[in-house]
Amino acid sequence: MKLQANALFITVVISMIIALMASMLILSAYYNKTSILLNFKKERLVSNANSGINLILGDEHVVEYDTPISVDLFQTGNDSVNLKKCVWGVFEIASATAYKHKDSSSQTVLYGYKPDTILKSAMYLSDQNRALFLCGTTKIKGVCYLPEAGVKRAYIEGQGYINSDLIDGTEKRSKTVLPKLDEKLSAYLAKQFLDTNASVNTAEIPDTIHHSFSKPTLVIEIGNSIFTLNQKVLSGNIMIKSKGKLIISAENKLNNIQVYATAIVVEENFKGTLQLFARDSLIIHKNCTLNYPSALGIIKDRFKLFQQFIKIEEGSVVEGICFGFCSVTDLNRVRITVDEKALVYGQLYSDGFAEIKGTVHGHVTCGNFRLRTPSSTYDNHLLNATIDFSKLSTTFVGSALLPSVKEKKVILNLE
Amino acid sequence: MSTAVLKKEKSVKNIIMKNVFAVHSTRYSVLKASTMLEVIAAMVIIMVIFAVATSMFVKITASGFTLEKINANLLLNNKAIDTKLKQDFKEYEIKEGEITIKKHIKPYGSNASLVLLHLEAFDNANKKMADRKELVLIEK
Repeated sequence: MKLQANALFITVVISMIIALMASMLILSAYYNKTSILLNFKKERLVSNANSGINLILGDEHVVEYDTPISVDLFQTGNDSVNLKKCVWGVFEIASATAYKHKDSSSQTVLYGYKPDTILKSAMYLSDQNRALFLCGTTKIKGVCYLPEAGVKRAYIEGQGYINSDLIDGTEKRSKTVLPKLDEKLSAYLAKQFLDTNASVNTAEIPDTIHHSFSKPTLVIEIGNSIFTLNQKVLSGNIMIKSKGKLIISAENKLNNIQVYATAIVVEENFKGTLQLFARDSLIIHKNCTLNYPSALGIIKDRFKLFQQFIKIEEGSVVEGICFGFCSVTDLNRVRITVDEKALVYGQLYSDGFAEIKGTVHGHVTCGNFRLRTPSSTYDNHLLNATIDFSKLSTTFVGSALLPSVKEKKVILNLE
Repeated sequence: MSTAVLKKEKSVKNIIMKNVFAVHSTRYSVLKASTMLEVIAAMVIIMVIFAVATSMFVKITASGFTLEKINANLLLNNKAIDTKLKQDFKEYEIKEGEITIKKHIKPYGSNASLVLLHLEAFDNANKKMADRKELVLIEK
């Protein structure tokens, strides 16, 4: 019997087509399985990195500062993470890298500490046997730690106190000394002015730098002169150090970096998130916005005839922490000035003077409220100032530098 | 019409006919027919290839992660997120469709602010489908 075609030839062709289709199906199933497995593996690594961060936040002693360690999370030999923590200005950084064979997943977070009972109040004014005097439209809301002499109305600069209640909140007695700052962290911050370990010189600063927190800190050293930082985009693990005066123009885009200088001037309309620390003066000019988590610090670590100060000018907003302390015995203590229409959202600590003419949504701790007017200088006087603790978020996270409970909280995911 | 034109037309027609014949002769060329044996052999080859391919495909899909396993993993992820958000550290065993989820909470070392969250998913035959361990921070 004979057929009218080459059946074997056609069959071979058909079988090849079927084989090709079948192999495609097998390949797609294989890739599907591989991608799912990879996804599960990645998910597990992310979860382990997250567990590593939680371990750093939950256990104070699991890892020492700047000393990376490797931990087997569940003692199964399959969930290893490298942990590291370090100080980043007034905040801290935790980093966890989970790995399995060649794959790894990293997480880096900036964290802070929850404020303690004292910092959950509107103000803490040390008891220097002098009452607190309120004038004009001054408004204080929240628990207040005040001297035994209490709080009184006063009439200065032609303005008497106009509100009915002196304080909208509970009054408590303060002590003669202020709550102490964390010694280790204050010493660390003071030491940063002296350390010189520059990686980049002034002349070499590129216009844009994003430096990962997984790498060693990039330190940009600026000499003793007056230097203007202009039109730079800097973010991440970067520290700028200057032994002179540093001017930061509004054309910069600075994010999460630290700046240490003898004097710092932030020019009008600047916007960014950064931590600024100065030895002599720190001026935030008009209409600047320093977003949370920012920090302004003045650290007096040597005897100087003039008064070291922070000045936040009209229309500026600082979200985070403002502090000033004197680590040497000197009667000329630091001053923090918040001008009219300026806002500090967070915590303000001055072991010397606080001159509040604007608004603080949060807490103020100071040795003395000093008010300077063209005609006179008044001690423990507040004129047309607002200190309102109720306007501060209940989830606000502060710094270990200020009195805090040992409960850590993530502020933001860096990487 | 002149004779020259007629001759030219004729020669063109001849060329066309030759080409047509050439085409037709290729299309209808005589092929050798296959024997019954050849046809059976071809069919067997097709059957064998098809059987092998099918068995391989079934094996790969069956041995890999099924949709149920993916669902189980997603469920455990959701439960872990719930536990962290709601700070719910009670152990439980619940059934969601065909999947049984067991949640275990254990202290992590001597640290009071950390717990070990262990979630497991089982199918109806009590076969483990997914497993997830995580350290969770207790917010005071």
